[in-house]
Amino acid sequence: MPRENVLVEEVTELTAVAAAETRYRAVVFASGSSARLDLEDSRATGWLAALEQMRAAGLTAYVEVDPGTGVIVEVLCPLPVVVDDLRERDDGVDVELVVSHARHRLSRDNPEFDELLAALRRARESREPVLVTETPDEHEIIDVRPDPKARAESAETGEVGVLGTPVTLAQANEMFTLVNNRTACSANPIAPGIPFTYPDDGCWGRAHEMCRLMIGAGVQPDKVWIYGNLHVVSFNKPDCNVYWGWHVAPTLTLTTGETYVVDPALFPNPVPRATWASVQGDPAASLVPTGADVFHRSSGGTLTFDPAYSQTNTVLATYRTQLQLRAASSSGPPPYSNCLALPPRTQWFGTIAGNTSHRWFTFGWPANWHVVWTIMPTLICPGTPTLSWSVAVERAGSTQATYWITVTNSSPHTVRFEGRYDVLST
Amino acid sequence: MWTGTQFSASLAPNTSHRWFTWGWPVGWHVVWYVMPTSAVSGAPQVDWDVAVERASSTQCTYWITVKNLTGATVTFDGRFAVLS
Repeated sequence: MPRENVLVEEVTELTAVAAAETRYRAVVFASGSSARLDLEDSRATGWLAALEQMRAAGLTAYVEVDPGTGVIVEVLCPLPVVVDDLRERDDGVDVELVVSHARHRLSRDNPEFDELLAALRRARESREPVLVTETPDEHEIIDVRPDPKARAESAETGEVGVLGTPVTLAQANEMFTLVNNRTACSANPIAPGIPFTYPDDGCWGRAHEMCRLMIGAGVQPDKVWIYGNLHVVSFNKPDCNVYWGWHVAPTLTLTTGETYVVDPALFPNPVPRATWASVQGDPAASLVPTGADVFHRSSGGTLTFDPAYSQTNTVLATYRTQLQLRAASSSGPPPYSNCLALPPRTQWFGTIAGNTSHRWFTFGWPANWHVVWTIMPTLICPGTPTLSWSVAVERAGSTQATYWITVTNSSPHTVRFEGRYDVLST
Repeated sequence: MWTGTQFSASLAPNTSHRWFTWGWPVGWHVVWYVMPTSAVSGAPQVDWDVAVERASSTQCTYWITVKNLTGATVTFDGRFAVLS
């Protein structure tokens, strides 16, 4: 369903245009069409990184262009999916896509509702793969069109037994650290990082990659699949709420016989399977264990495998791109302070733009208290130091002091952080 | 609160160098400071600053840049205190 001024194609080249126009980068698509990326747009750096990630991974990009100027005004990453089910509601249609565990919706408020619904119905009947583009946070569908790429999949029906070898809790913690240390930078998620901070979708790719890493470390995991009307609260989504139809994560069987789940998208350590299930908002959800080799298990039990991890890499690239685009949006990169409670001995949550310094002050501190100040980024971005800080103090009165804390962000990304204090003596 | 020495090092005259130390729990409140082990009286010997990187949901890496303010080689300890 072509929309005006929209390109949904693979990117073949990102190049600088004429030297006199260094403000713009040319984006060339597979058909030979091109568009201009305005480097003065605040989203340009993130869009450029996302387009490059899509180009490198062979993903199709969705680009809206201003017809008058040829300048890109929106970049999104379509999902290569099959339409599985459509459920009409008063305000729209709930759309189940395969493979995706996110909740997708077509709003009746969309001016192209009828055309999009017809395209979704055709896709559901034909079972032909389509590219579905949606809004980044609400997952409202805005574009549906045939996917020209054929994808090889091997599907089977049945159950695959678990194979995991027992480990100690210490080994389970080691495996958690192993995979958690592969977390992609939330502000610039590049390969081979795992986009744990994009909770909306992509769990089956994350799970398969985690299993690959554990197997490489000599530990055989399994997986657990949960199906239901799932809802989790996450500080990595701007509105704090994530809705899923299903979810999957690796499991490890302990020598005690307990099953622990490794899911850095939800927990900071391995947790018992019952704990993992309990935070997903549906007491009636069903749990199904499988071996680690199952890449995707539909709610009906159809299994898909990805022994060469090629689909895994595509899924990871797709959701790193989604995270990159979210980071480039007005929301900025996760986590989102509105979803976080202020931890003990934390005075404030701050946000600081890339390559800038900013000063905060906090007043009314008893002058006889010995107070030290530290800063801790909440943005996960491994590889280089991000924030440094210095402290100045003003004796505001005979009994009170004001602290002035200057934070310097040496990274190019917007960073959120905690401003922490400790009172050494009073 | 508890304290420790994470590393010992030396710095050539009038130079600075950056050390990093990884795997620190992000929930800990940690302060870093430096103590010369080569005694010279009359003037400050070293200055330092600290930067921090959030490496994962649970761990961070501290980057400590130490500057030798003197015309002689300085040896020092890189110390920390876990406040909470």
